[in-house]
Amino acid sequence: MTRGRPIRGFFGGLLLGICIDLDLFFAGIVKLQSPVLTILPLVLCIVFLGLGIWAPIGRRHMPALAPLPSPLPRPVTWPEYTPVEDSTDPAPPEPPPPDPEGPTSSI
Amino acid sequence: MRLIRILVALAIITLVPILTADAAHAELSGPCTATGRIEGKIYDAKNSKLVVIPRVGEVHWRGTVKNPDGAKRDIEGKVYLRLPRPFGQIVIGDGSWDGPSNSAANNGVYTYDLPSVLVGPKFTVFGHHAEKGVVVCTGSVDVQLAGSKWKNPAFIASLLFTVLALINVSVVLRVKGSRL
Repeated sequence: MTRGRPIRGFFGGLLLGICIDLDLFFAGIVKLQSPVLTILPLVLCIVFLGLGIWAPIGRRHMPALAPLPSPLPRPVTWPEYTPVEDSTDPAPPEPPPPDPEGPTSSI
Repeated sequence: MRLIRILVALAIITLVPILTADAAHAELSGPCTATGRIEGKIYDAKNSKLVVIPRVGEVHWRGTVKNPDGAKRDIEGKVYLRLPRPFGQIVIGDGSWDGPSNSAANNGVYTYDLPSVLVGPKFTVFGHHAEKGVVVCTGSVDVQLAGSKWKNPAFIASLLFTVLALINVSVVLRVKGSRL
């Protein structure tokens, strides 16, 4: 996704090229028939179109990625005594017999 | 990043003029002569490099070609400015001639009054003369109007527009939504 301004860069480069052309001409640096006057706006169009796409200033850097959560525990072998489907539960242990003397209390 | 911006601006300001500066020159080739006299000073296309002339004045011009037998023949010629591509050329004043002629020389006086927006730029004036459809003489000379270019209103306006254009393209370098 483009986050810059390529169209504005294209026309801004063209405008800048024409202005620099006029500066160079009026300052007497280049002559009226010089090909520089034709080439410079075209070059600046392309350069600022590229810079508009790139938009190198103000680009937010991505924060460092958080470390991944700890890996899953290592798989272990299913124990053989574990009940499987259609098996019956082993009988629960019998409770201890009641004390015939009854509960005692010590004071 | 600020350093990069300063370096780019310096490169535009210094390198472009250095790489694009043209040397002043004048040349005339072929069996012909071309001279002009402005305010008593004679300019010869063969001996001049850069001709600096007043913005307002009159030029006494003279041109000759070879026509030893004085025969009538078809001639054609003009004096013109070349514009950058894709534009063509502009004929200066009354600087074109053609038709059958038996003369080998001509002269006249041309009065001019050029606007101040033309002070500063260098113009190369080209000229050629053809006989029977064949160009026999070509020449060019660099011309500049006398005066300070800093008094040229078009130059000052152009500099201001360049600053505005630079500010405009500086926005292009930024990501949308970032603060200036």
